[in-house]
Amino acid sequence: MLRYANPTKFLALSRALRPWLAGATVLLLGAGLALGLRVPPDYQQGETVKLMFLHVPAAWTAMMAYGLMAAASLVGLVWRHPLADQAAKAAAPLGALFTALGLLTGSLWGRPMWGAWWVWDGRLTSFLLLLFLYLGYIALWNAVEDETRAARAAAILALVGAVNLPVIEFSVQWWTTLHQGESIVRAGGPLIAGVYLWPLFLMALGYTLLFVSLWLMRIETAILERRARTVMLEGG
Amino acid sequence: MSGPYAAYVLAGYAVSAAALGAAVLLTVRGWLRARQRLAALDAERQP
Repeated sequence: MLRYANPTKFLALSRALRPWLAGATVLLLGAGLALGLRVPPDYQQGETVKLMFLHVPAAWTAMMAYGLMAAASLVGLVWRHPLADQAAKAAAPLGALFTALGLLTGSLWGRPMWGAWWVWDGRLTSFLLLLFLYLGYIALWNAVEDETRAARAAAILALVGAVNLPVIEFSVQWWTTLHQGESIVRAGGPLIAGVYLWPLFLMALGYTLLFVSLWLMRIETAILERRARTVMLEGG
Repeated sequence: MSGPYAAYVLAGYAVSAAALGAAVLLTVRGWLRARQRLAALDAERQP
């Protein structure tokens, strides 16, 4: 793993993976949409069940992105490796986007099903906090001029904020929430019928690979920009 | 798609497609610009 902390080796790996990741993302999202848009209406939710194929993958990717950002922040903080800092920084805007999409698609489902765009229950509130953590992290990077100090401050925020991940995950167990409880990964198997589970699985995998593809590309961009800065400084 | 809730579903798919499409475009554009800038600087350095 540490082998790829070298920017040149990372670039070589990223370039090799990019076409495969992009191809797999298109295939998975295409198959997920083809299946998902043709499922029969749920007996309770009607057509709104199709929003689940957007909401759950977005929420899952948002949490995964934060986990990766916190892990990269830890590596950057402990081993002081600039590539880890750049990896964490590159994940933040994407994570914020998936969080916003999770909130928005959830809200679009909540209005017809709960009769409310928003409720202050444990799951929704902790997930909104995730968005604020992402935005705070991005703001911190932009507020501190010195890159090393900015990376350190942002890494501490990312690590402190990681406490929110188990809160989001277990909020439906810890508190009485309007948001439904665990229905996919649970003891006794999923509560969702197979006809809905397959598109959900394909879309979740597609969203995950989309995030990874964009994340790698953003890290590559950061490396290239850093090299350009170095070339300019060397040239005087 | 039909029924009383179709508009919510269509809005969800439209917003998601627009947001993710924009993210892809902006990421690729940033990457291309960084590549072109570095290539131009490297070309300038060549004797």
